Amino acid sequence: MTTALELVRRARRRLAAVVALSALLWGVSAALAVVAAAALVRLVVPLPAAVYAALWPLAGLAALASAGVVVWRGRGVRSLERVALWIEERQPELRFALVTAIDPRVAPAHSHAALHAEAQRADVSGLVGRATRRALGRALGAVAAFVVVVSVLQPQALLRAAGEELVRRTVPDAEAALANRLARLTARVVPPAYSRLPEATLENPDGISALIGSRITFAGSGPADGVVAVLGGDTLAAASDGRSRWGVEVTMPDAPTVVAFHDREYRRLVVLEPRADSVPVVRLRLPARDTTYQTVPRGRLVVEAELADDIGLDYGVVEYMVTKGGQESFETKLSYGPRVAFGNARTAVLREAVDLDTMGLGPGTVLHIRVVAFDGNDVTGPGKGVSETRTLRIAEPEDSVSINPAPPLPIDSMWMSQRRLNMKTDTLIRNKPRLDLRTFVNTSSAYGNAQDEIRQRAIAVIRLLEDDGVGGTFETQVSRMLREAVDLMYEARVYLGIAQPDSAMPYMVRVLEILDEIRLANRYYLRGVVLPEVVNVERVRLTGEDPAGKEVREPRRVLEDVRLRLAARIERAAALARSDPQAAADSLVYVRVAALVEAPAVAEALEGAIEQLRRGVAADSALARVRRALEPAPVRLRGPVEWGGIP
Amino acid sequence: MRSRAEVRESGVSGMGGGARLGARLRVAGEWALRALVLALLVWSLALALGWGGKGAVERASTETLSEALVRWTTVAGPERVHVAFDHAPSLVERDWLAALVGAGTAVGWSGPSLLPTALAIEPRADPAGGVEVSVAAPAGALVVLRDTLGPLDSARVEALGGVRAYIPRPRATLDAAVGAVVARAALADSLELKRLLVLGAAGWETKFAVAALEERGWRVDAEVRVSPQTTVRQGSVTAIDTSRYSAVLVLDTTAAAYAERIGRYVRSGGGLVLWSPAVDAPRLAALAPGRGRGAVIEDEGRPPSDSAPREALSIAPITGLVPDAVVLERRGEHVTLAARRLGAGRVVETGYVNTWRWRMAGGEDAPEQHRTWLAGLVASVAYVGRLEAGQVPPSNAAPLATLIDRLGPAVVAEEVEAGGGLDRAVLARWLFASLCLALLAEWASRRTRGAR
Amino acid sequence: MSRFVFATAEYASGDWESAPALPANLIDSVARYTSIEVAPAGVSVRLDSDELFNYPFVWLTGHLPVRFTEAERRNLKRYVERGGFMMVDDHNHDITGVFHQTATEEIERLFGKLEQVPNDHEIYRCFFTFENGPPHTNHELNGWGDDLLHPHLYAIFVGPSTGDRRRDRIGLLYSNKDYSSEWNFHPETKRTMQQDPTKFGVNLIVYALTR
Repeated sequence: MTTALELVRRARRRLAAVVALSALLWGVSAALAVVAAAALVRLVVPLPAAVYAALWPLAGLAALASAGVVVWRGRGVRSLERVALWIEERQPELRFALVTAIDPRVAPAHSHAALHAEAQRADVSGLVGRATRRALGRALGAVAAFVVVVSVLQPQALLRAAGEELVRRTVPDAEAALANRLARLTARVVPPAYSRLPEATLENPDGISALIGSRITFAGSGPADGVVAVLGGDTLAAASDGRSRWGVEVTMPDAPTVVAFHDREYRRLVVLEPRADSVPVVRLRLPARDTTYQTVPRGRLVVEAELADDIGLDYGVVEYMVTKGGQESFETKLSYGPRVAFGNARTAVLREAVDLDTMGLGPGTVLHIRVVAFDGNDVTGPGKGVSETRTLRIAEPEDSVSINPAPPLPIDSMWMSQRRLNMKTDTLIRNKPRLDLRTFVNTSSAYGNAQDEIRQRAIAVIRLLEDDGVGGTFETQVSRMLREAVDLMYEARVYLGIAQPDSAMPYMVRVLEILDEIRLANRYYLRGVVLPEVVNVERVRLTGEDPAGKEVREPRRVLEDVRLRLAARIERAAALARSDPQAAADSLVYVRVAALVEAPAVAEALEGAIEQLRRGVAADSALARVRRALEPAPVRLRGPVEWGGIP
Repeated sequence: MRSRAEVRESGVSGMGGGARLGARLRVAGEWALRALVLALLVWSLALALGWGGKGAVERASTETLSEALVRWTTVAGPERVHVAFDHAPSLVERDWLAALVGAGTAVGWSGPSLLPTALAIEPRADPAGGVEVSVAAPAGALVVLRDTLGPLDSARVEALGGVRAYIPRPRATLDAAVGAVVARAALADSLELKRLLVLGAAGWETKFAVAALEERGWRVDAEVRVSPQTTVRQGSVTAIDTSRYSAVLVLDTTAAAYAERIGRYVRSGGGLVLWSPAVDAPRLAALAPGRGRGAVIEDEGRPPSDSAPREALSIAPITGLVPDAVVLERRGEHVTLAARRLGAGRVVETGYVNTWRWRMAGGEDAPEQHRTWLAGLVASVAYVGRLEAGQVPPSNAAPLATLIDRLGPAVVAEEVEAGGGLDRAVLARWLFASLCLALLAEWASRRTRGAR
Repeated sequence: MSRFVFATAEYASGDWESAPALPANLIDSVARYTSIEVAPAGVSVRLDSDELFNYPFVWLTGHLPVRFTEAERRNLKRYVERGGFMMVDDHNHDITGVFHQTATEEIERLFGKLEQVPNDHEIYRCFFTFENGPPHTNHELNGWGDDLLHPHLYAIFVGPSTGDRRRDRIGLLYSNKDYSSEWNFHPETKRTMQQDPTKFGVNLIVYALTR
């Protein structure tokens, strides 16, 4: 027969099992509840990465806490007395017989048979059975309910992501093996040595701006196998650094481009924005302006220039070019002043004095001076900056003008015109007896007009010869001779006008002599003025051969507006933004690279839009602003509607 | 428990004479309140059943119109409604109101701030695309042109003509906001452009006119006379007709040999742009809006300014205008642009003889401005085919006009007032409030004097 | 209206006026062979002035170094980009000479590398036909300057390319052949010549006016 003690012991064991099982089931329920809650929240708002990482631990904690509570509440099963009391509570008719029966201070069964008999009548198994069913039923019910909820929410992706995030944050090696090796990128930028600029390290860059030729080393966590970088047409495989990190080195090209990293299904784009090393800027301060000297200048000439460079100046030098000669024969001598080093300074002043006596200057020579500066760029070749050129001229002695040399005067054409007129007048005189009066008079008058036309041309030449360029006049030898010719032309014109060509003739002969004398003299140059030779267009019109060609013209191509091309690309990316913001951001990265060359202001505006898309924020207004900026502005139209269209 | 009568008695008999009168008055007042409650209930019932609704007008404003429409349609249909618009209703609301009219409700409306506005957009005969927008609005009104990306331009309407603009890159719909009215138009069709034919002597104006049009995207056939027997050709000029050319451009008299063919082409619908020196040939003059031209007024060689580029150009003024000629532009007393219809076609004549200076010597945007202007001359006369667009978004090009068309003219405020009647919703609220107060007062009076 | 005016470029650094008879000679030739409306006299125009843009054809020559000022560079670039045509001719006929070296340096600094013009480019056929490309000059044939026969001209091509340089548009044409000497004579002298050497000049002007 089972003693009361054995009954209670048996009951205790069963109850302990129920507590344990309930704790387990309630723990599972709690964990499922946490997962279900996370899945529900994720349906409404995106969860931050920290929440993902905390999901598994939270579920575990909830499970432990829940189980702990159940175990705590059932801690009474450790004590036989508590178990017996638990039975007594549910069977009051025992009247503490069971508790007394198992009390070791009470006498054994054979001494208190009635007591033990009373105790043994307790329906312990029934009680325990009912308690078991109740406890386990509730726990199982909770589990079943959460299982249903969770199976509806389908949180597999959530759990997987949570696991990956947790592993990534806690186990570096495991993170790299499992997750996106491009998620965390560092870039070490080493500028070219000549620039003496410090290197920089950038964390997770979307774009890198650096001098052309800079070495850029990209690195990320994880093994190198399978990670590649595509730059232009080249594919570069990543290399391992032996410490479970991968690395790729590229050189900054001379045009903006995108380097695309690939790791299995993951992709990441980084824009490379090259900065060109500008050529030095040189401003010539002395000599301050071009000059013409009437006599050969002597002594020292100071040359002074300000120089500046964005990176650093290497050296500068003054260039002297002396040209002498005339007509078709010139010779030029090129020389340089001493090279002045600037030790990579960003600004400098170059000053030197040159002895003009050593330059071989003489009448008719031209001296060109400029300053040339070089930077230290040994990547794309030294940048060469040049100043403006100062031109110093020395006039010829027979130049009687004070200002500058000039082209020859149209004396030839005047001489030829006068010569022709003289010949025709001579013929008129000889033919006078054979001509009727009217014809003779009209012809003489016409010749008078022609003479006057030549006279006007001569007056124009005189004006130019005598203009000193500063509002005054002065006579030259040629202008004096022309004045005499003009006066004689006037006399001849008068006589021709009154049909007395024979009286005009002596004047016209003298005019021709003067013009001939001027023509055969040295050429005089007046810089800044060209007296055009006048062609009698109508006289020669279509007197030459007509090739009768049927040449075909090549049409011009339509002018492509690069801004419109950019706008179209942005529009396509904007259309993609709603359905796939990351793909839209990637497209815009490529548009931005094109814009860096074609429309830099647009590239800057696009950067903001790309960042918004990457963060999952709508970029509609940013993109709208950019598209609007690229479009041609509206044009107001005037006039009636039916003749619309005309701005 | 005491009976009501006993209570009344105790309430009353337990007092002195004056107090007794007061108590009686109080009881009378309570009966009056009960009667009032009953009357209010009857009135509410009548209101709910629409009795005695004659003269009562249901009202709504722009803000409350949406819910009012639902109420008017689903709850008892009102006999009369009035809507006060402070901005034009949407297409749906407008059509809904029109439907109410059809269902027997008298719909009146007012909208003193609604300005008459009409918007039209036409595709431009230009390879660079774009539309020409015309907005009609009262003089002095501010017109704001907008599309889906935001504001495009704004202008105030001058005395005549409204506002007109060329929009180079239009979206599918365009809005013109004039005060509280927003008109919307959609581009319904596109154009099929043919080629251009340019005839002229070798010179800067011919060279740069052809260049500008080609750069714009036009396909150009050209005959450029260099000498009596040498002509530089581009394309082949076989037939001058509307199947091949959208417009013909004649820069001088070298095209005189083609005058008849050009005349037939224009009369059959083609477009002609003529430079005024061309009218020195009588057969070309017969086609032009101006039969003659004045002596060339040479420019002073100043760079054309951005604001008034054509002021710095040489002109051969257009003279001898035919009766149907339309003057499009003047410089002082000289006509510099004129147009006319000739048969089914159109002719524009320009007196600017060296627009190439605009391109060469003008400001930063001068080349593009020159191209746009020249393309505008061509667009104003070009013969083009039209292709209907597939799906056209809904539009509302003349909101006020269509509102009047659907609902009749606006009702002035005095007429509304004379129509009388309180708004039913407001009346119902007052009735309910009065009912509650009366009940509350009756109960309070009764309870405070100890009656049940 | 569109009257052709022959313009000579004045630039600060050199002897721009070294071929004074050339303008009249080419004007005469244009009038002889074509019906192009042409001004009877040429003009000179400063490269750094707004005036330059009133003359879409301009001739630049000299013997001395070519060193443009900033204003001249700015104007020249805008001029060619807007459709102007510039002819640059080395009056020294010497590729080792200072004009060639400095002028090409200035041009390439502004526009990039000068490219060889194919000898069947339309500029050689646009009025008269020159089967073998640019005609030689007497200076070349007599061994002046660098004693070379230059078979090609060089150009800065402008506008969208057709893909075939024979059909692409020339904005600036560079010559080592010294046409400035070849054509620097009085127009009347042509009457005494068997072959008119200025015909190629007519081609240049017709090309500029029609392309």
